[in-house]
Amino acid sequence: MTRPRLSTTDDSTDRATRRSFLAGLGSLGFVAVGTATGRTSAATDSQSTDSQPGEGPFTNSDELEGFVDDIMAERIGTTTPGATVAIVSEDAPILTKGYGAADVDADVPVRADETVFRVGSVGKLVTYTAVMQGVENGVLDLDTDVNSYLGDSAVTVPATYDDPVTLRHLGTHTAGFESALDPDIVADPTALDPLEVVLTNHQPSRIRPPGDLVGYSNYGAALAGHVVAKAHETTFEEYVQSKLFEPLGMTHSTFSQPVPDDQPGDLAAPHVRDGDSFLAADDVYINMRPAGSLSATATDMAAFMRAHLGDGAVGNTRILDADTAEAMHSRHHVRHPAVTNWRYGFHEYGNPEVNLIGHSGATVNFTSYLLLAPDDDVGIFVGFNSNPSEGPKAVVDEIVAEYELQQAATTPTPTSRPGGQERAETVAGEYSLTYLPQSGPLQVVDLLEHLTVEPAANGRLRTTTLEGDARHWVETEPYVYDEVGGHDVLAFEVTDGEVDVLNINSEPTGVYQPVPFHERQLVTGGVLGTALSGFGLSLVGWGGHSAWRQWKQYRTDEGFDTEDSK
Amino acid sequence: MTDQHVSQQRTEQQHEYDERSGFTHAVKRRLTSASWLAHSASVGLSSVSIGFVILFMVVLETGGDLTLFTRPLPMQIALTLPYLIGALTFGTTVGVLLAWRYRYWSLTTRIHQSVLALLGLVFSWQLTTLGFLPL
Repeated sequence: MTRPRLSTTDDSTDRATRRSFLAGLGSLGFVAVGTATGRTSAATDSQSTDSQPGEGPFTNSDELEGFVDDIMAERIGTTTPGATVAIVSEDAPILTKGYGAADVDADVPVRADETVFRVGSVGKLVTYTAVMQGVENGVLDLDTDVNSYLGDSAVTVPATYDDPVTLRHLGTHTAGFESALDPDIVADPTALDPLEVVLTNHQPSRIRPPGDLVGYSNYGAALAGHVVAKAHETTFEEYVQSKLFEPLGMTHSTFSQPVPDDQPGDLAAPHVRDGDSFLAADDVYINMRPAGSLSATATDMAAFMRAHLGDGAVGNTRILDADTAEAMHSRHHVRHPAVTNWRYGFHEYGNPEVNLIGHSGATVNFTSYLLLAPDDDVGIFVGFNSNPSEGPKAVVDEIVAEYELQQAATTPTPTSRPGGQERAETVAGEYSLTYLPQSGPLQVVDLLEHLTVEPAANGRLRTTTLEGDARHWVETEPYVYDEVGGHDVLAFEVTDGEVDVLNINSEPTGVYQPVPFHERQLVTGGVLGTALSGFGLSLVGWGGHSAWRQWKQYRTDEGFDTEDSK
Repeated sequence: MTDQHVSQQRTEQQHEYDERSGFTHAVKRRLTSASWLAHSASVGLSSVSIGFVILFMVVLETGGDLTLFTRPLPMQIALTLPYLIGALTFGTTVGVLLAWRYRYWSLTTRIHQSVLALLGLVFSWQLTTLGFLPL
């Protein structure tokens, strides 16, 4: 295949820095307690462990491997010390390959079938697959109050609203729990608590009616895992081991922490950047296990993707009925028809009209991305043993673009409906994300992440962030705007001339809501700046006054001494 | 030991006692002086507020956003300062009210202290809005 390589990506690819940090954080949660243990340059060895010819978009597996080798070569040693990749097509793995170093200190290469990566929130897909197994077996129901499954559990969802929280809400992150971002990550494995204790001690407030708005919740995913465990009278780890990992032959996968010594494979070391090189760091542990404690090899993730692409089965092994798999891959919550929405556990990727579904994942120093293209029977998994600003999604974006798994974006056509300038002025304002904390010191993150929308000429919009990310938008339908020079979409929901929510295609994990005037960045910054300036001037004034008095006293004393000496 | 030595030693002891007594008296006098306490509260408010912002930003810049989750000791210290700022704002505000009631400062000082109390109140309000100071 000799297609020209496209540099475009599906949406607003990696507007790095704080946004990607938070996205990773939101998509799993973390805390870096990484203590550097060594220093070395990143290795760039790569090792192919499995490569078979495939069909579908990948007509030539050697060419695919060459393409992936090229894009990984750009990253190994610069973006990440190591990576693992799995690509499946037509129900068969056509590329599973490790790149770079599993541990820069030990100079151990990544092996796709042996090196275990922490996959973070990609593990939620396993959790929600387990939920769907329960639904299929009649043990669980997506629209029943989750409290009905928690009879003898210490965990109970409070009746804050008339409508109960259901498993459908948990699988689409619409339960309305306040986000804490942190899925209770600990540095010491002895600090790991039973799931029930964690869910009891870290129960968030319900701040929105269920089913209303998307607000990514690690707690919700952990609660779903707990429901699975309770309904089957076992532990979550034991359930997924016996009902998912063993049937699929995912022998190197586990939610257990630390990864047991007798677990097959070797866990890659997490890494932090140190100038031009990487340092191996200490791993951390996630208390809300079903939300992100999964460790797996690329080969195992290939098996998981094959099961989903194979209508719930790999060969003769079935983990979901075809109807159940189809139900899981269908839409369960629509934010807005013009943007990415939620399947069960999966969110849509790129153009919402194209059937691409995926999930990102991150721990403190691991990142991953899983994408399924059911219409093309293609699955892509990429994992890094580091957490750079440009993560594995960028690799997935390049593969999607190269193999045209979705059409390249076209130049947006402005709407012919009059009143564009009025609509632009209606939606102007400042917005905050629902998946960011609304209480505690982390609330400052919400302030820093505000998005400012301003009207521009000809009914266009301009959006900016504190980080200096400025983008321009053209209205293609009333209150729907396409990015100029990009692939992202803004979709406002307006009632009686007031914006209710702003949906952004590239942010499926939440929606933006208008910020009250007194919480806007300019007001907060102005008030804080004025107060601090006043305090500073007062301190300077007091210091100057005190110095002047002491100097005056000194001069007076000196005058007396001079007179005495006469 | 001669009488002169004894006398000198007694004089030194007396002097030391007088100094200690004077210091203790001065401390006691200040700690019971509403004007001194109010002034100290406003100095503390200004210093701690600036110190909080500097410490918070330094920890965030050096350790990254992650420090908001990991809460290393410097971040823990920074996050306790808003409570102190709240207390100092309360002290400054009460001091200013008393100053206007009993006129124990000059008009200029009272206006200055009033402005500081006002700044303390809006600063604390913003700390509450940002989640640093729970209501």
